[in-house]
Amino acid sequence: MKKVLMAFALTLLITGSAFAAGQAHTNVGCGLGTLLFENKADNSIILQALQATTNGTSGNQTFGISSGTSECQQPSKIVQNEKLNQFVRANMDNLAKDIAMGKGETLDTFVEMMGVAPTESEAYKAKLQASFNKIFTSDKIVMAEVIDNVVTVTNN
Amino acid sequence: MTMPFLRRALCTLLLFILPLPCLAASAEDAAYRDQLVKEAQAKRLWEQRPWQILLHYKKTMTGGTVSRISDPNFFLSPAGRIDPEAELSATISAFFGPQAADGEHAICRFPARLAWLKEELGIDPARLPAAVCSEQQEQIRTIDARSAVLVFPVGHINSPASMFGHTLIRIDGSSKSNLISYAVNYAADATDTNGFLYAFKGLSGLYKGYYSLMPYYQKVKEYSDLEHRDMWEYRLKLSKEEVERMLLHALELQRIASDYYFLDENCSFNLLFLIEAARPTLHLSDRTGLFVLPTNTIDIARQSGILEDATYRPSQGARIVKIASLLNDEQQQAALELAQGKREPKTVEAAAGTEQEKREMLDLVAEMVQLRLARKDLEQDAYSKLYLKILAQRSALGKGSEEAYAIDPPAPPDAGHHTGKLGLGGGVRRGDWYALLQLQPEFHSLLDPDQGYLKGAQIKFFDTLLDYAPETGRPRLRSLHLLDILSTAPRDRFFKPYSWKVAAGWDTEVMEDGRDSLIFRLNSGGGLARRSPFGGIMHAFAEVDVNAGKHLRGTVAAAPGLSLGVQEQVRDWWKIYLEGSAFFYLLGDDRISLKATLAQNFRLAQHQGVSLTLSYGDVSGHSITEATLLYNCYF
Repeated sequence: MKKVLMAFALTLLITGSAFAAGQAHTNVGCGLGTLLFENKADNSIILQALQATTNGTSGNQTFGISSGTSECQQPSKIVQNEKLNQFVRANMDNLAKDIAMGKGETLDTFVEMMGVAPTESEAYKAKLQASFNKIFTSDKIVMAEVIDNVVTVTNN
Repeated sequence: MTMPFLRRALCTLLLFILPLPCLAASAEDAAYRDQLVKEAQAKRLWEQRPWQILLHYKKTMTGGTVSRISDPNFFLSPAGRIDPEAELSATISAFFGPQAADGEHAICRFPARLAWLKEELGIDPARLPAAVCSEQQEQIRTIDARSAVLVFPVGHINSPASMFGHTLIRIDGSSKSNLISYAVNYAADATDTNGFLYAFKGLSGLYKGYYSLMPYYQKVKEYSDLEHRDMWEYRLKLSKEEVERMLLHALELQRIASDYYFLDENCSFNLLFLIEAARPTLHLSDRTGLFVLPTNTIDIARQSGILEDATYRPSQGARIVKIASLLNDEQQQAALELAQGKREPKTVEAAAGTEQEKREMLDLVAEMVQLRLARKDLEQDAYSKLYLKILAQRSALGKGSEEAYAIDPPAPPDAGHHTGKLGLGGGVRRGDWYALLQLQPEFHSLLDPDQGYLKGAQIKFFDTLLDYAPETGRPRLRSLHLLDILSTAPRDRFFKPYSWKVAAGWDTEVMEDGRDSLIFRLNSGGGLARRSPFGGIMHAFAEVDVNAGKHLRGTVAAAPGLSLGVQEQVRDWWKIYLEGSAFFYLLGDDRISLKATLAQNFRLAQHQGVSLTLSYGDVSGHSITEATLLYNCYF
């Protein structure tokens, strides 16, 4: 059974990467608006009614501390920090919003992960906000570029 | 100290060449192992609470013991599920078992059992085999458990797929932000989208439940951004050591399946084991009732004194409502058009309003654009373009006021009434007096106080009314609603949800000839709701009512109908529900039923109240007036 599953997973992986290759570096799942929703159940009223009565919630067996970013292009300008990569990948939309607003929990988390001292974080957040267009340079931007651009802005 | 280790290293090397010396050498280990097993037996450790908790044992009706977990992988003895003693001996033996692949040795698989037995038996770590558990070590290092939080995402406002809410546990590490903490969640592995199959399997325990571990931000995105459910976070008064124990037990439950019962052995119930594993002197899982709802978990934890006060995490929906409330009508409309791409973001510069209002408009638009993507109202490419354009515009306006967006937290879930209700009182119907008893064993009706509950939502199970009139000399079943759900979700400029209801059960109704008769009813309807000028909710429904009973013209009758309702929480202690309905039983019966009801609830204390209901009905010319007064106790 395990072997069958492995074979299946491998097939998926191969067809998946072939598909990704066909799209020429779009980094599927590494950009804006990609990780917002995953397998949501259908929202028909009857299902809702029955779910309401059964206190149901669906889950899976994930027991991971990481979702991994190996399929995404990796940042070049920073010492590898997988936790940061994952965070930016999974929260890029909220991070963009918080940077544009100059405040917010996602931004606070990001600034903490970047190792900015608490005393400097306000100034740093203002700097990121003022540099929004240098960080989010295109609507096709991916995680690696966001991090690289932030590093460039930080060092300037 | 280092001798056993050296010997073991040597053994591993020699294993490939000469198996014999290793076997000979492990005779010493075997003796140590047997000594520990004996000691554990002498101390009757299997009877102790920590062992009972770690194995999820419960007493059976016949006085035996059985684990709630059925997965054979969770046990080291073939009889482990029903024999705590055998499982204890097998566990100690397994710790001294032969080398295994990375992560597969019992030492890696059952770290919480090992930690406890080490303490109880003073096991010398140096004499245990050197097991490689790299994944687990990575998990423990990354999570860096320091403290734990019980998290309660409330029910769903627009689509009450889970009106009861949910609970999960967050384990915080050393970072200041808790978005990058880790969440331990228990959920059914349910993939069916057929509602009936889903309900059937869920109620009968055919789904498997699994614990999962993931970054907390995933959960926040799921509940707060996607489903628009506010979250309440209760820090647990547990020490670092206790939280570490909790994590070790959670790791043991990794990939272990248990039978998931939606009503009792569900997400909330199973989290109690983690808290008990952290502090075995707590008794939580054996204090639950018929159903275990997430609010019950909060109650139980609150009573055992381990909860700190709740912190409120408003959902994206609540943020949108808040920001919109800061803007005038024209600005709200402009924001909506911006979000729909009908207006250029640049036009905000020229729009009327203060700098702060322009920020608010753009912030509102950004949230709305995200919402449109989540609702699949916008393609990803179009979304990314629009979203960045809005944000670029916003980034030029500076930070602005932080306090303006602060949302006043509603009453926390633990301020709400208990989920069972018993009412005692009396009434007068068509001039006859009677005594009345109501039992509403589960959850929340529209008339119950809003505090701690989702506004506008009702879920009742087995709501039963019994009356007793002195003339008849015996009690009579007035009504028994197996199920009664009503969800009113107000529509506004930004949200366009539908409202609906469904109910099934017995009711006493006036027949065409004017007599009372108990009928079985299936009722469903749908419609629209709006916020009332006084802060309540008004709704209008089109309904279908199907009746079955002896005194109908046919045995079954069906009627189209209309209903209107208004709910107002006038004061903290005073709630009003006004309803009018008209049903036309033309199929299978000849009856027109008109009804108007004014119901009021007076909250006396968190778990006590008085309700007064006045109603007037007209069924094919027979008029019926009724008044009831009940003293209610929530339990």
